[in-house]
This record gives sequence, structure tokens and C-alpha cells, in this order.
Amino acid sequence: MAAIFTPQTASKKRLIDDLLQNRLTYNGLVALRQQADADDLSYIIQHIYDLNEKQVTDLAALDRIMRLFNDNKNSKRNTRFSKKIGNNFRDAGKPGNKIVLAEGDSWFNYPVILTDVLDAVAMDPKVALYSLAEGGDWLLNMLTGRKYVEELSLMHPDFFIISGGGNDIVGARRVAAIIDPNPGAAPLPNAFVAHLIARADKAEAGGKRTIKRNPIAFNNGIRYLSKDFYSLLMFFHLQFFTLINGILNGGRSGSSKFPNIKIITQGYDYPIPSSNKKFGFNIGKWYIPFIRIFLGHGSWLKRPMQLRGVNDTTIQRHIVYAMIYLFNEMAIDIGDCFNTPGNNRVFHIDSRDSVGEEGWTDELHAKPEHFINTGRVFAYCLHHQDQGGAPTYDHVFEVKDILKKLP
Amino acid sequence: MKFLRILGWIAFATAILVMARLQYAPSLGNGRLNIMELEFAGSYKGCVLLKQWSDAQTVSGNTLLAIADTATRWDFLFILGYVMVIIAESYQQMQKEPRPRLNGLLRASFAIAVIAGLLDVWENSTLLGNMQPWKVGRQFCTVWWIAAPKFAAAAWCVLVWLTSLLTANKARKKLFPG
Repeated sequence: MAAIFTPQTASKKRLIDDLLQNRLTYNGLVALRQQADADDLSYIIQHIYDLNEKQVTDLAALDRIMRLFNDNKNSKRNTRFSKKIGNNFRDAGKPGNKIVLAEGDSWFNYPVILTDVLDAVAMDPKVALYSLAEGGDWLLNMLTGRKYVEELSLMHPDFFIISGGGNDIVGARRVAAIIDPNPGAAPLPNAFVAHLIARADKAEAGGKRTIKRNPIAFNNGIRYLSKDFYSLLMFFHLQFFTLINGILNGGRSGSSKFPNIKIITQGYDYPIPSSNKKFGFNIGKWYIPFIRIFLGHGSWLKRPMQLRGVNDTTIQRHIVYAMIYLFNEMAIDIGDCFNTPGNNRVFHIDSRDSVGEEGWTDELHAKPEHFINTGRVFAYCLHHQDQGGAPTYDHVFEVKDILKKLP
Repeated sequence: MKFLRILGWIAFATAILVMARLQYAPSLGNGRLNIMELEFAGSYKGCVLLKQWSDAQTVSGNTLLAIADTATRWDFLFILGYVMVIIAESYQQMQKEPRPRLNGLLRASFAIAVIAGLLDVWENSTLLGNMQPWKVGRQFCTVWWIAAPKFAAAAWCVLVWLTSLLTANKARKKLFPG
């Protein structure tokens, strides 16, 4: 059947083409996010990755062993969830108790060895957490799989928390495809990035923000980001917007089944591209060389950059800095789309600058103590988001700031 | 991990039952099987013990030495069992331990349990060598210097696990005040 072109679809097609060619205006992005549907998102990602739909699905799919370990951890967590619910956890007399549905990647589900963020959140006696998170999962999978939809309908949680996007950037050596090894003196112009930076500058100038941009690292790193990175960043914006709009506002229907639910997003800290195995004699850190040898260390960031001829470690770090900086700003910006003064419903946990130089297990994952810290900030957010002054600023909880308030 | 936990407990319990039965094999003479004593024996005492066992008959017609040999072989299953149990139980407790230091110690128990198990394998292999007929009463290779760190390692893992088990609940309430 031939496609039916209307002025609206023609306009949408033009907006999508503009996004893919890195010439979309900010107003264009706002218009596109109101119109984009699942087919459009699929079309966009196929063109960013230069793959067909099946290839994209295959690329993002988890292997069987990974799925087995993920399922095992979730099964254990979800058994604990059922036990809590069975003990009348949700009761009008216990308003401080929170039911949480979680979807995410390896920061939320790192099988067996590491204590991850959700492990820590689930330690809160006043939280019953149901997890759909899978280590290695792509945001793309989470949205197309839509497993969270069924669980939302069943449990009507107080919070939906999500950590996603990291694997869409670093999975399958994609970093190599979104950098430009021969940059110009200035970064490629992009209206959405300009909007994010202006917003960040304003927040920094307001003085409440403790996470400051490192201008040297950012300005150097951003020059190496190709138009495909910008397309991916705008694509993330569309994905998060579609997901959150669907939950809070029922998508295009405009009526939500979950009028009281709140959503928390998560960014990452700046990882360090490395292929160092970190052999040593500290038995307390036995897992670091083990993980680095067997579980992909070096293949996510360092190797793909070397593949494109970016061998300087400082430049590699600056590129990753710029990516993660913008990713977090994108996630923070999403909150502005849904929050109104006095009625915040979307929050962001900002982990930047919380892990530090020596805080990494491998290229992507923090040491357990840092995951626990991030988890404690999540728990703090769950209980304090509706109290004035609790966030670091606006709807953002900065991990390194909130930790100062915790025992 | 659930599978590992169940398998570990089955191996652990089976080996304990079998070894307990062997340990208390009724002897016709005055010999008595005490493998722990052998583990910490010096060269002379080791020779004497093994000679006594080789001379002592049980009601089933075997020598105590033959039973010690069998018990030592079953000990390999016990090793597998306790290493798996320590790892599985430490992992289980790790999910409930919010204090980074204890959480880290529970994780370290994975490696310490494996080290204890390897030391135990080394110790058992040496003991089985000592039980060769041509060596009994003549030569004994001591294993106390392997057994001591093995027991210390296993005891450390249990201590860490117990400490966390008994105090994690209070720590969770403190670190997650709600």
C-alpha cells in the first residue's frame, strides 16, 4: 500500500531528515517530539546506525548467558519484592513506603560480582523494588520491548526509575562511529546542544549547582563529536520524551492511567577509557582484574577510539567527558518538559564527579562503594523529592552534593 | 547463584554425613581416627599416628588408615561444598549489606574461599601421599603450615558473614533513614 502523505507527515519527514543531517532547530525538535511515534524512532535509529531494522535489533540483543545472569538477579530481587508486598507493605497507614519499578542497564543490574545501584536502593527498608533492568541492555530495547508497560499497569508504582542510553553509545563499538578523528577548531554547530549548554550555564550561574563544567575537557572533547553523536543525543531526547510522556500523560491520548507516578532518570559519571588490567596484590579488589580480563574492559571506549586513530589518552578522556556531560544535560532538560512550578514529577540523579579517578571497576562501571552511594541518593530522592529544598537544585539530585546530607 | 547455593549445600551436607560416619568407625583396638590431629601433627607425631592407624582394625575388617584414606577422598567433596556455600552465602548477604567496607569484605570472601579450598586440596593431596603404605611409620610430610592458613581463611569468611548478618539490619535503618 502506498504511503499517504499529508502536510503533517511531510513536515515530520523533513524534521527527521533535519535531525539526521544535524540541522534541526530547537523548535524543530520540540515539534518533532510531539509527532514522533515508534515507527519514526525506528526509522531514525536505522539511519543513525546505517543498519536495517533487523540488524539494529540483533545488535542491541543480549546474549544468552548475559540474559541468564540478569534474570537470576532480577528473580532474587523480585522475590524480595513479593515478600514485602505480602507483608502489607502497601498500606494507607504506611505512607512513607514506596513501590518502585526499575528499568535499566548494568548500572542497575550488574550480575553477581558488583553491588549495583538497585541493590543499594532495595536495601532501603521503606522501598519495595521490582526490577526489569538487564546488564548490557540498550535504551532502544527497553522502549521497544515495553516490558515496563505491563508492570506499570499491574503494580501502579509510586516511582518509575530508569537508567539507559549508555549501551546505545558504547555497545558494539559504536563509539567509533560517532566521533570525528579530524576535528575542526570549533565543534559542529547544533541547536539542541547550544540549548543544553545555555541551560547548564544558567544553572551554574545560579550558584546552586555543585557540578561545574570543566571548560578545557569539554571544549576539547566536543570538537571530536560527529553529527551522528548529535543525532543520537537528539534521538535520546525523543526516546526519553516519548517514554515519559507515555507514562505521565498517556502519550497522545492525553489521559494517564498513573496520575501520581513520578519518574527518576539517571546519568553516568565520566568513565575513563583504559585497557589497563590493574593486576595487584589487594585481595579485596580481586574482582577488578577478573572483570577487566573477562568482561569487555577496553572494548567499549578505548579500542573504538583507537580504531579511528584517536590514541592520545587525554583526548580520549575529553571526548568521553563531552559525551557524558551532554548526556546528563539532555536528561536534566527532559525534566523541564514535564515539571511545573510546585509540581515536579520527573527527577534526575546526577552522578557526575562522584566516582573519581580511582573509583572505576572497569571502563563503564563504578566500584561497588560508588554504586551504593548513588543508590542511597536514589533512596533519598524517593523519600524527599516532594519536600522543598531537598534537591540540589530544581529537580536534580547531585550525588556528590546529597551524600554530604546523608549519615 | 541459586543453583550454586543448593548444589553447595548438598555437597557440603553429604560430605559431612559421610565423613562423620567414617570418623566414628568403631575400632577393635585402642586406635582412634582424628584427622584434625593429623593435620596439625609434626613429622614424628604424624609418623606415629599413621602407624597406629595402620595397625588398628575396625569391626568392618578395614584398618583405620584405610578409613582415613577414604575420608580424605570424601573431603574433596566437602571442599567443593564449603567453597560454594561460602561464596553463595556471602553473595546473598552482600545484597543486604549497605556498609561499603563490609560489603567489600563479603565480596573478598569469594576469593578467600577459593584460596582456602585450594589450600585444602593441596593439604589433602599431601596427606594422601603420607598414607602410602611404603611411607607409613617411616616418613611424614607435615601439613600444619597449609592447614593453619586454610582454617584462618575459612574462619575469616564465616566471621565476616556473621558480623554482617547480625548488624546489617541496623545499618540499613541508619543509612536509609527514609
